[in-house]
Amino acid sequence: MKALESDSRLIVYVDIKSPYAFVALEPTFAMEQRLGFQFDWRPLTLDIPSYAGSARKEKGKVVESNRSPKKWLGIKYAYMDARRYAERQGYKLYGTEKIWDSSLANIGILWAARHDRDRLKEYFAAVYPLFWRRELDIEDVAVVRQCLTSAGIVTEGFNDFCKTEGRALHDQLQSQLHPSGIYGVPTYVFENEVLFGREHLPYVEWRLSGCIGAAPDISNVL
Amino acid sequence: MKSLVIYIDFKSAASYLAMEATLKLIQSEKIDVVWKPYQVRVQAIADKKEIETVTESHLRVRETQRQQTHLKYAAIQGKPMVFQREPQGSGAALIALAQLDCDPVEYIQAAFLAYWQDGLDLDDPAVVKAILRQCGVESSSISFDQKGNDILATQQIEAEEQGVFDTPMYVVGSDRFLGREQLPWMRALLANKL
Repeated sequence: MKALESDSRLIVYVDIKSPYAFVALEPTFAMEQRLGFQFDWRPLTLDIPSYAGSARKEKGKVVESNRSPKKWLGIKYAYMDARRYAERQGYKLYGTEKIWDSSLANIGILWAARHDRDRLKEYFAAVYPLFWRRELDIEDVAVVRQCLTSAGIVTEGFNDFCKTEGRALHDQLQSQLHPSGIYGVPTYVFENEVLFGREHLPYVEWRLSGCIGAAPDISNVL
Repeated sequence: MKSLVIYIDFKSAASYLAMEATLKLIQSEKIDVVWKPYQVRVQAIADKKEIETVTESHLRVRETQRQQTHLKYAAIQGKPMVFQREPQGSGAALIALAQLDCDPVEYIQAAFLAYWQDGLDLDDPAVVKAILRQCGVESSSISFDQKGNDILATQQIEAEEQGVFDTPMYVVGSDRFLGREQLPWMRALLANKL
């Protein structure tokens, strides 16, 4: 799998542990429906400590952190901002207590895309809202498998996939991301353009629907 | 009438590209606006090294992509935008903004153009005084010495106490919004449609 290449006209990179990817799902799926073709949804497992420092909370209080006060302002704002959009979409979004390893849940995206692409949206629906209500341990392969099952996707062989081919595919993709200009989620890739953030959806849709009229500026869909 | 506080920095590409849409919002919603300075940190993009840590690689890729994205939208907006290899400062221009007691919009627009079109150093009081003159603003009462630095530093601290960490940051009551992509939400909020 090449990071910038796909049979689809649009690649969408997401991470289960990203609040911004969570609130980007609905407007991105809405655009997928309007455009009338399937996007190529892929995982990007963020290495958050490498750019935002790390922290661990217990009972809502930070017990470990190497973040500067300014970094904290940015992170708290990001959660507050994602939360207001999530609530508008009818979801709860609680800050996480630790930085999760989302690779298993993200390998679930590869599995769902390969085995039952039509039910990928159901997989996201089974994972994202529960995870952001702190009701899902996405580091437990049995939990991820259960999410696939509840999405109506076959799971036979999923455990092995996580240890072998799925893990290899996932890791091989991650190593290509920075060299391809991809560093965060959601990222939209089309016609050799790489755009980070759902604020670009108006532009992406304008491009993919024939560039009719003036090009739109960035804007978050309400 | 609702009021809006907008924090900007002239060396922030996102602040520059937000100007037009922000002015449209101000006009359409008829709101009181206070423009405030907030100094952001802008660094030159590091050259790609043969061996990079993940952190170094992330920062380089992120800043490179951000520049390209800003240039794309500058072209869409029909605005000139030149990124200098080594970003110029904006301290003196922000010191002036912190002390202006007139409508600062014309000055803000001129200072943005001076930075993004002409590549001028807005850390130089002489450059800033020339911009103020061009806008017909009397600059003799504006202090660019230690007193001016102190005024800006105080406003910076007050901004951070309000949760400001980047620009353009819009504050409506207790709500903060970063970036012009938030204007649809702000428009709805200001029009009591949320």
